[in-house]
Amino acid sequence: MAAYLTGRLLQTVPVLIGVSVLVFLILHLTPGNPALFVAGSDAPPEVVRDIERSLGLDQPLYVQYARYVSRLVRGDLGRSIQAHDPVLDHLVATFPVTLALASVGVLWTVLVSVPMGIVAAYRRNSALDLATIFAVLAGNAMPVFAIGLMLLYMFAIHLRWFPLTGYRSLATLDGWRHIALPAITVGSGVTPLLTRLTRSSMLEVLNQDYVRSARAKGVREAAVVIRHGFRNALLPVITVIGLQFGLLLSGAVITESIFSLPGMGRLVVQAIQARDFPVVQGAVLFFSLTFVLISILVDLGYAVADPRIRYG
Amino acid sequence: MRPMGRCLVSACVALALSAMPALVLGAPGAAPTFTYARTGETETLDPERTTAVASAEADFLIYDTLVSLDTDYTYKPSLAEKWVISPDGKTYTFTLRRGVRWASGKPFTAADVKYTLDRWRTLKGSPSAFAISPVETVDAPDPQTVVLHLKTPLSVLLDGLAGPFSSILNPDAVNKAGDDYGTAAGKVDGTGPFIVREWVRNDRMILDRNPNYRWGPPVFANRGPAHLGRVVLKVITQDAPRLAAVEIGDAQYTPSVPPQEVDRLTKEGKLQIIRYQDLNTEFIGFKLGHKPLDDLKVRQAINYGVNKREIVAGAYYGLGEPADEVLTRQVPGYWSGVEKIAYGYDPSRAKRILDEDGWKQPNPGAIRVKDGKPLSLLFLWTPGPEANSIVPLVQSELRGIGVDVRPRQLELTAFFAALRAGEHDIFLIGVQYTTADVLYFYFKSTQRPAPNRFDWADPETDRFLDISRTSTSAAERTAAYQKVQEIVVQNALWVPLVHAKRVVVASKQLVVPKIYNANQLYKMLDLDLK
Repeated sequence: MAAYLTGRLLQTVPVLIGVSVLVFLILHLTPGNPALFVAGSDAPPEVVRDIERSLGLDQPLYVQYARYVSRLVRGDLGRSIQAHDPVLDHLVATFPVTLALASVGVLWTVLVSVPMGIVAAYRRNSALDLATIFAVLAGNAMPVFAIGLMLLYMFAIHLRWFPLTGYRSLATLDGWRHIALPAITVGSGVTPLLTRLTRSSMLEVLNQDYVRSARAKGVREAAVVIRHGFRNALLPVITVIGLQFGLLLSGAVITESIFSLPGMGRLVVQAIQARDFPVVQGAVLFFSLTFVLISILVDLGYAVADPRIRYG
Repeated sequence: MRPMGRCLVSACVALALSAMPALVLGAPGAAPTFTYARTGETETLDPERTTAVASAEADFLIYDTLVSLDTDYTYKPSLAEKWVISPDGKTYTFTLRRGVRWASGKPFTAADVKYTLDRWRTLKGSPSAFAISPVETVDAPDPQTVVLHLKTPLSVLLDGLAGPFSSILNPDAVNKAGDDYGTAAGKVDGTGPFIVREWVRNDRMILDRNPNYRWGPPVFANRGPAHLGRVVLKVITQDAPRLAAVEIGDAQYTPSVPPQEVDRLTKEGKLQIIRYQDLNTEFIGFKLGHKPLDDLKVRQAINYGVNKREIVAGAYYGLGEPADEVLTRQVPGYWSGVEKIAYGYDPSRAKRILDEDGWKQPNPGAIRVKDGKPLSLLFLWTPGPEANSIVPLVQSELRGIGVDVRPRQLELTAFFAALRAGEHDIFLIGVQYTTADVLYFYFKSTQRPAPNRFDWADPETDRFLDISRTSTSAAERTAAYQKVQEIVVQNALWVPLVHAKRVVVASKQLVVPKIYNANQLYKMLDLDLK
């Protein structure tokens, strides 16, 4: 296991190097100039040149990359061009917000999708199953921003049950009130997929011989479905939850914008708009690292769900 | 009811109860909390490192400037009680107000002003230092006097000194924080009416009243302390939730309202709808270096071919005035004679000019051609509520006179980069200004490739623009500005479209005695909640 983990962690190094090169090139080849953003659109030409010089943007691309990498290996992600503070401070400030959003969003999804998927599979072709299929189709067809705006109008503006915008720590009830609507919104983007997957996965295992054997042995029906059925249907579900969690951590941009959450998604979008290269580079590296780590955790989760899987 | 159902209901009730709107006014007699729903986040609280509007909103609250700008565009005292300009316009002597203290408690002196202006002039990569570039030295002969020595006179120096980027800094705080100055709540100090208490980027900045503040500029009836006990600058970037925040009472003011909402809000009558006119011009600019825009006749025809009234009605929902002239009427230096030579909407005349200039239409409705080349123009623009409507309107109107317009939509940063690279034939942009010096920015030959995106290089224009900046005679400066306006219109360098009316929305409880033009609520000293 230790050898497996070490190997997987070492694999992240070439991934991060590749990501750093790609992001650097994409950013610098995209039209737009951070100096222009800092200077303001109507700044005189010499002001823009001065700012370019102060940011080192007047140097050839390979020099800029070499400087970036030399800073990176020393653990320095640089300073934001717009805000002038360390990029790490931005990541540290915004990550808990996005982590809370993604975690509560996934929790909501699991609480809704898994029972719905199991019940739909168990009551196959019933009215309940049809209703689930219809709900999945409707959920798939609705864009996240539409769901977010509807929730906002209904529960924050009309009923005023929840705050309109903003973020507070989840250590307080107020924090949960703030995160509820955004989490349901991001969760809604994943719920249809997870419900469908749970349903089809359950349908497959419920027809297996070992489920019939369990019933023949007189095992309680709930135990048949959950212990013998769902546990075996869990592997694809874990994969999807893991991948979706990783994606949500990479910034649920639309949701964060609708609910004005100070998370990483908004940070990156604003940084891209301002061509704030150090922030974008730092954030993308961070996303990549998070994504790789979650993949490793998902793989480890397989072993927990299925004792036949062993690593190392 | 099953246990799970009971739990759900309890949770909902708990959430609903805790969702009671926060009390805005606090305890009886307490100074009220004012929540301002803003469109963007402050980049940095180091005013010398940014020109962003959102940073200015906070700078005006935290800091003070030497002079202040009144709503009639005259300059009034602020940290400087008075000032004297030498006859040659090259020496400005400021006498500072006594009794001013930093939020940290230290007395404010002339040495602080000298430090601030010296830092500003020499700060690497400062986007605004050019505003005082002619300043050669700054002296502080005594704690109450600051003297600025200029290489050449600069008629708009006071405008620069009234701007947010010229906020006076505490040297101790700057030196202590180093490169981190202005990046967090604890890394900033000012003499302004409010003190930063908390700053969560992209969410909220909370500022508490400075109880010792007594030195507000005379542009306010209340010189301090502020009536408001606390100001919360709340970032809500999306239009709909931001407006909703004011409508449901989560915020009491927003500076930006989608124009299509104004009619509904007015009819509902639940909020204050405040309209005001600042100095702004939305225009289409020509790249003179690109054929056929080097041809005056083509530029004139396009000027005659655009129906500005339709743009005001269609894109601005009537919230603006068609702009035939270069500058708004309110700006000192405006030349009324421009109205006699401006281009009104006259598509027949536009067609006639193009016909006479050799641009022939093979058949009615076709694109005009001259020497085998079509009259086709690349139109760069960046999306926005008004621009989204202006572009198709202009495209359709110009097509009506046989001019083909090829719009290319670019995201904001890419748009300005493309303009600087000179990729455009024509472009759509809006400009906001506080003085007629905007003419210098846009039409001086040394300002190419941007903000002189027209490629306009004319020795006569340059001469008048130099006079407008360096002459010590107000009459001479006004005459120079007027001459430049005449040149701009005669040469049809742009198509001025609209002077937009601004609309802000406030709750009925908010007392808003004045909107300080582009500075909006400025220092919020007169603002109160009933």
